[in-house]
Amino acid sequence: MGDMSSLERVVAAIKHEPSDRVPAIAVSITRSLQEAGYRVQDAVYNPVMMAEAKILAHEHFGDDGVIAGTDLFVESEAMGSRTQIYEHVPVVVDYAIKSKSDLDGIRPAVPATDGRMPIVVEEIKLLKKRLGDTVVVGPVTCGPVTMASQLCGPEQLLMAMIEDPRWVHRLMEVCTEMSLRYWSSIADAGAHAIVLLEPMTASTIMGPDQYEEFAVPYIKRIFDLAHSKGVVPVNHVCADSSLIWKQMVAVGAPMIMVDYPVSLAACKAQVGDLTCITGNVNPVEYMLYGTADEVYRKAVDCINQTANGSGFVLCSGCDLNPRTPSANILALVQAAKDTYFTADGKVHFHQYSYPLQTQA
Amino acid sequence: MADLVLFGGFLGSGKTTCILDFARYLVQRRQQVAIIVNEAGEIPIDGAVFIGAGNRVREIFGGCICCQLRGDVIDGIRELLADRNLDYLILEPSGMAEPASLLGLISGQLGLRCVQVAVVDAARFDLLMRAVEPLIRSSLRGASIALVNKIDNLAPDGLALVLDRLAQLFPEVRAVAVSARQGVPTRVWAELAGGEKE
Repeated sequence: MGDMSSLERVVAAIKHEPSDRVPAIAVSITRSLQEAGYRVQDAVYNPVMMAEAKILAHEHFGDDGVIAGTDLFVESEAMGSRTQIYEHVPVVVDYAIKSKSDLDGIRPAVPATDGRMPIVVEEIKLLKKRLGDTVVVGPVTCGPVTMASQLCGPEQLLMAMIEDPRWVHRLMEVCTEMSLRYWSSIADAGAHAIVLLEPMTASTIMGPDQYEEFAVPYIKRIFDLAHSKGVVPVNHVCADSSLIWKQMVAVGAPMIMVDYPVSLAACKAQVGDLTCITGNVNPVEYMLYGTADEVYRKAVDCINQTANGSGFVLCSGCDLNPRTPSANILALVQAAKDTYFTADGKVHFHQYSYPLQTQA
Repeated sequence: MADLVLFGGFLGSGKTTCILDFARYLVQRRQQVAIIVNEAGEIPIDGAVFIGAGNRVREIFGGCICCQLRGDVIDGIRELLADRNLDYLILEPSGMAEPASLLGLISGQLGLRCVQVAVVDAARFDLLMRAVEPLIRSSLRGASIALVNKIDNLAPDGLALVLDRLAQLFPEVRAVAVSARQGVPTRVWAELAGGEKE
């Protein structure tokens, strides 16, 4: 079982098969840019800078995946919402859809030419050229519900789900078509996986019924495309997703990524036989503000809750803040490197590389 | 050390009007105030009333609701706290944020005395409970007071229904009916301020 590549290790986790150890992905998306000393404002328009920074970060942290792209505003920006980068992330400052009739003029953008989509696609090609099939390469993309909120504003979207659901479904069709086009280009560029980010569908924002009506049928179409192209679709919902785990899997997700507020043990018990779970060290309390020892202890806890029987990838619950200390990312990855599986599928630790005496 | 007062509530509930009214109350009492907003373009601050005299507005945007943003809010507050003269921090998180979780992080990391205010749109309460019940519940969870706003747009029996519903859902949250547009009673702000600082 020794000397598996990162890609083989992650694939084994997805298939719930034994591997040499638990895989780990740092989710250091914009954080990676720090490794090369690049500013987000410059790198997001330059695929060479993005790829170079991601490779440097991967080499530094020694994790099992490289995440292309930087943010979840690429698609809505290309469709007409105006964004501005504040500090290190874009935000929408002018929605493309101000009144409902504006939807008539909204069209899915063209990945080959529009906005930053060709830049991300080029970054993936550069990463694949350099890393080949040794490490998981996959970008983050915006989920259709979140994309809709970025086009018309979250208030208009949520209210319309009650007052004018037909309009919302029209909007969701446009957003889904956008995702299908973008995911197709990403798959053709050679990505192994594609992460769908849907913060708008967190259980603190939308209920399971709304997720079922406005998210499930559309995400399923996107994931069906990924499967047809041989790409692994990853379903990520920020914050609390505990009310919709089964639905997140039912769209055809061989992997779901859960954020820090939820219990990995509960997630494993509910859907662990159906999908590969990734998560969920708190990206702020632990990864940004904790010590390396605290991160390591938390990572060990995550592994003990979830990794038995494979089907688990250790990562932070969500994207890391650019100021996240290197020592904490290294501690996260080290926890996975300290593991091994026995023939019965149980996870064990060769050693504990950091102190475990005190409870975080 | 400065106190932090967080105003949570759905978009359009009147958070901004309440915040400006509270800030005006504090500034008139010679308190130094900083407002932190993380909704792009949401706060049309009245510079003549607020900016200057040590008061300021800090914009912290971005992130996907939960992760990067939370770290940026902590760092932004920490920078503002470098000014030892600051008396109050007023935080308006994104309408999609979960206030109690954010406040837990702030009090844990910075040791501030934090007060959570929920601003409730009484005029659209029934509709909002159907459309965004998780968000409304989230804005009330952990709040010490709910400002039941826009009562000038509501018949008296309508207000009673909203107050009854709130009392059933969150009996621990004290509800105060207000019209922020017409001015919140100063006794409400005095209570929130907890007695102005010297």
